[in-house]
Amino acid sequence: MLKKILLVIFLIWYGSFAEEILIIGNKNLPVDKLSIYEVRLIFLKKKLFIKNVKLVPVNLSPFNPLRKKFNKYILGMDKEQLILYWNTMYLNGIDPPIVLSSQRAVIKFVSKVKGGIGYISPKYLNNNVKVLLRVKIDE
Amino acid sequence: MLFKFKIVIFLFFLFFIFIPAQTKAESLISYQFGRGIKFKNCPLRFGGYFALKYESTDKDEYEFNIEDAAILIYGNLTDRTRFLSEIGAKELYVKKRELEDDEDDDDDDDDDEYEDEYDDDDIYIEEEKKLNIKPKIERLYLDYLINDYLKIRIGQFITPIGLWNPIHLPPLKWTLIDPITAIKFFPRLTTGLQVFGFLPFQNDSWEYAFFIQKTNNINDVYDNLKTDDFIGGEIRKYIGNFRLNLSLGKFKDKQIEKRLNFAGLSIDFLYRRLEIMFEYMYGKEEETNHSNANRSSYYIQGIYRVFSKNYLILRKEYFKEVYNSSKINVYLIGWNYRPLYPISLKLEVMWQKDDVIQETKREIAFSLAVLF
Repeated sequence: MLKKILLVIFLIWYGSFAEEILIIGNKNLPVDKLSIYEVRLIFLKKKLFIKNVKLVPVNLSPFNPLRKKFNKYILGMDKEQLILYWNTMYLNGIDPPIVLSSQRAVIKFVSKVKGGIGYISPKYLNNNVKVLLRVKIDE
Repeated sequence: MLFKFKIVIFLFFLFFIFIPAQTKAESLISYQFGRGIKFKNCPLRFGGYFALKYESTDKDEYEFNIEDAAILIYGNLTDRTRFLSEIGAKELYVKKRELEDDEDDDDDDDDDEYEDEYDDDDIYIEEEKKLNIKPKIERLYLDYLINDYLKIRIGQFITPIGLWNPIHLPPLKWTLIDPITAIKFFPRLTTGLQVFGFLPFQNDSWEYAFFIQKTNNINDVYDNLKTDDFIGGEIRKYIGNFRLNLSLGKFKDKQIEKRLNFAGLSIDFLYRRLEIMFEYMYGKEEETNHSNANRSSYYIQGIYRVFSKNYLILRKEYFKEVYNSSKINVYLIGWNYRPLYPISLKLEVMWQKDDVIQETKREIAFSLAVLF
């Protein structure tokens, strides 16, 4: 019994340090769940549609701490790898996702644009968007 | 030559000083270094790149070449339509000195003074200068995106084969000197139709690209092999940090009037700071069954980010052509430095050893490529 209590306490303690990134989408998106691999393809502009809806991924600014975590844990790339990737895409006529200045702006954009997809911290979540993926990260 | 070079550098810096000033003055234009200009309410973006190189060999040959200056215009015309055009001046300015075999050139008395100076079997072609400012179309295509599983491209585009060919632009390539595997087996560019996208299974981890050409290129200047009949395709599989490509195709080489078949396998592995690229190509003449009408080649290349913006490149290549008993081994060591991400400075040394004639050639190359 004591072991179970200690385990629960440990998990609560551990959970308080683990951060979550929420991948959010417009409420009219014809999908309710995405995998990390799909999110990666969307933000690298390789996957452009979900069931005929053109996707519009939005990023936070490169200096935003959440963007850095998103790059590391979701895209699996560091800043330098991403810049070189977008250099290649630039010469193939493909622009990186739109950059917005804050998580509030991301929520606002995603709630208004049908194919909008972004990422936020849980504290910014509201009912105007739907959560497509929760990724727990611990550093 | 130095004066002309200074003019180029001056114009280059003037461009970057001028554009940010415009950006501040008029919010109708936004410019980001390495990402081009975007005008408000215009779906197109305007950018480009330029690249220059200097190569010298241990045979006292050299070449200075402003090898490419290109303007890129691209954009999404609608939700499902993309456009790209790349218009450039290839070999804008070239100055070089080449060594050629004397045997075919006995009647050229003007070269006698050079023959006295060097080996009897060789002559030096006097320094050649060339200025070419005629713009040519390198790429011009329109994409129609039906969905992620079927995208259609029409126009002149980069042949979607292998690892090296799709990044065959000076600012993107890891080394200035191309591997033989990437230049001897199929035309770099295709003019025609391409269909590409994901294959609809296994969570979009398979991709395909098939293309067909039944006409002359829009422009041949940028192509390594000239063709008017080309068909081929590639299937790619992504597994974790690996990417595996299998390719197949055939084309008519207009210069030798022969049909050639090719098949290729390439693997890319990316782990943290290390990338390993491997490509193998096999080629064969179609109309003959002689086993001596084939050729094969591979390269394996390691790219390691030693520290931020600095990459070490090591490459080993092998090329074998049965027809003329050619066996070539190539070793390359290079350094790629990006002081700013749109700028790529490359320095590399290559040793090319021909096993048949037992000759080793060393080449040193330096290049600067800038996206703007």
